[in-house]
Amino acid sequence: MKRLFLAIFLCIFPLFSLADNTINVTRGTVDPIPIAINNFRGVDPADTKIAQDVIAVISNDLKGSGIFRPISSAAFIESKIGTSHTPLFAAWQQINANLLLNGEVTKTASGKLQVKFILWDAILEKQLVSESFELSEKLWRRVAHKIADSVYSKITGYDGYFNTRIVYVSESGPYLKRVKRLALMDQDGANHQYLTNGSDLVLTPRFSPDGKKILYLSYKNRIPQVHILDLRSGKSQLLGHFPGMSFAPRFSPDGEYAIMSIAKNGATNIYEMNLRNKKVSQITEGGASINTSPSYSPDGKNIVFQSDRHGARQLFVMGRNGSNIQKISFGGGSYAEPNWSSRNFIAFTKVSRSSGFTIGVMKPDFVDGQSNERLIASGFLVEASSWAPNGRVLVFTKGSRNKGKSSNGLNRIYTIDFTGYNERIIPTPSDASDPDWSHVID
Amino acid sequence: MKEQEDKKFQRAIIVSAILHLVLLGVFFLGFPSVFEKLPEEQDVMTFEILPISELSNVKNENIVAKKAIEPEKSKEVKKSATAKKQDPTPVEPKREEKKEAVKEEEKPKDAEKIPEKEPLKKEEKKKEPEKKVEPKIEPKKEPKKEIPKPKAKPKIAPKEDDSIDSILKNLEEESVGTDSKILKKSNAEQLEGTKKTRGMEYNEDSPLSITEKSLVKSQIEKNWRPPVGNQNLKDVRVMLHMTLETDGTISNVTVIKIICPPNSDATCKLTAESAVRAVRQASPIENLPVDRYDVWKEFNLLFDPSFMDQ
Repeated sequence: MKRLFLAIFLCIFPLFSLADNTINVTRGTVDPIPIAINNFRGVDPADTKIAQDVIAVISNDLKGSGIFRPISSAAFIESKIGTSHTPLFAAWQQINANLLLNGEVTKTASGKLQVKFILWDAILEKQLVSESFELSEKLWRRVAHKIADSVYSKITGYDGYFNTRIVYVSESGPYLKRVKRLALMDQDGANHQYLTNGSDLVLTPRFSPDGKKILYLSYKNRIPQVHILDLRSGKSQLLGHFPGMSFAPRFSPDGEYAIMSIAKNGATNIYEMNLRNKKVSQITEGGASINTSPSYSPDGKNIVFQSDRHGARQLFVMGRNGSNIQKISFGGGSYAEPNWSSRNFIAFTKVSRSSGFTIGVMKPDFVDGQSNERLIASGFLVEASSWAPNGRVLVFTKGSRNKGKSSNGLNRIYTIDFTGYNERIIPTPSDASDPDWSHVID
Repeated sequence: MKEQEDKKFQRAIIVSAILHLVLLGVFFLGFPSVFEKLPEEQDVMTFEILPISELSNVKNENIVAKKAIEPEKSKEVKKSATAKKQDPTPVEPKREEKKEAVKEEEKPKDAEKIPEKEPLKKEEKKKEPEKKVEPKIEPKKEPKKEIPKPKAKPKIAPKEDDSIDSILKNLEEESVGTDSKILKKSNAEQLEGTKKTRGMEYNEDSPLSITEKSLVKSQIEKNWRPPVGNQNLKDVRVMLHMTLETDGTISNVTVIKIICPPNSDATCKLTAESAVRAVRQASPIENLPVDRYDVWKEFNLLFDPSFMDQ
């Protein structure tokens, strides 16, 4: 019997000691991941140039995300390029590359550009992604963005956001006589174009979910009114005929409705318009308070907006029909411009005496009057934030202090990761404000 | 009349002042210790060694060898053994006995003086103690130990020595090593030094030492890039099992457990991948003592990304 116990004990004891041999790893690094973007092989030597352009765009996208650090190609040891071989992983580990991107560019018989790529994990020595894109040659930048998107989403778990566009208000001219035009560009600043000629003051452009239309505010008829611009035809028209000012427009997630504020008889309330039959319904009712800056939840069932109904401007959430209004911001100062992301975060601008202008992020669900806001960016006049479609990156306006009466460098648009890391300026030809980020382009 | 009284009063004050001064003088001269820092704190150090070496499980081999030589000692110690123990995990009984023995020898004198706070200080000072211990222990021990066990003395003396100038000392004489020493020593030296006294039966089950744990930990953490910003990341835990070769090369990594909050499969997958990648990248783990290969040839790693709380 004793022996039996001893035997059992001897069997179990090593198990305990195994449990003892556990090391807790509780810290990591947030350094960007080193990635080697190898030269893409041009199947026809004539394609080498475009292959280089493609990898330059990929590299710029990945670097701009703050998640990756492209390794200089001068360090590469393996000279084989293309997608038909298994890389010599030791050579890539040698230069400390965690990831390796190989690719190949061909022109198909129909004259289209075909780019095939493989993303390798140089450490685990396995293939992570292998894909091929085919688009007309003119759209080569888009192909590059798509590849960068694939890499980004494979590594971060978030959808890529490189194949997107940003619409914003371009500003030029002297401080007191600014000319404001709507402008459209790729998320990296390329393919820049103006949408309006600057004869009227324009503000707050907002993309439709399909990226084909833009709602914006124009002073065309001397009073601010919401207009809708069709990107394909380039035509714009007034949206509805309201007696007073209409402003702060935004599309619903399905693109069927537009929501906006209309000021009437000293009160400002939120209205929703069915874009098909132009029927308008009032959502908020409030004596003399100002309810504005509405933004839909990703499922379209709720709306977040700012209101001064309790004194200072705070954020509230309500049902789509205006029911069940709940306050969600509780800090001091005033809150404005809420914007609900696809990942169920709400970005906002907060102005307080202690920290000035800040951009913050909060969850719409709160516990017992405790909001969970986190301020991620601050600066002189930071405002007007808009989410990238993946709900991870924000674009916003940041002003600089008025340098005399200078006409340039007053404000620019920046992107930032919602963790508060990696603030970057987006290059624009002149001053910029009020950006809005499109959904991913197909 | 009044003047006289004043004079008397003055004299009385002067006398009083002088007497007070004398009294103060006596106080200063007679109780110099009141104003000095008490040397007692050094005693604290003797305790500090214990938990470290206990956890580190480095010295155990010697005890095995010595056990035979000093049977009476262990007996005596057993009685008081449990009293002061700080670490509840029984690394292995024999070793503790030995340590208690050391403690025992130094304790009687200081026992009353040692205040309760000592355990608290333990963490703060890890390195200093070893140095300080030396001067203190030697004078105390020599007179004391002569009578009960002459054998014990030579055994303890080398320990004190090597904790200070570990590298210079002749390695063969060393019977007891401390953590810091092992850190400093190269693997080869280590092997040479402990080979002779090593008791085979203990290493099998003994846990990793603190030193080894932190070595592995730091080398892996340097390479770990958790998927920042992913949903519920802070609640994910990934447990890996790894097997090492003698040179520290990681020969095998397997994910043995993932604790995954609901609706975060993608996050969990990415976290697990990042963990495996970190381990692969950290290979080979450097500076692990070769002679303790049995201990660190396989162990588990628990990855906890909650520091990334977003």
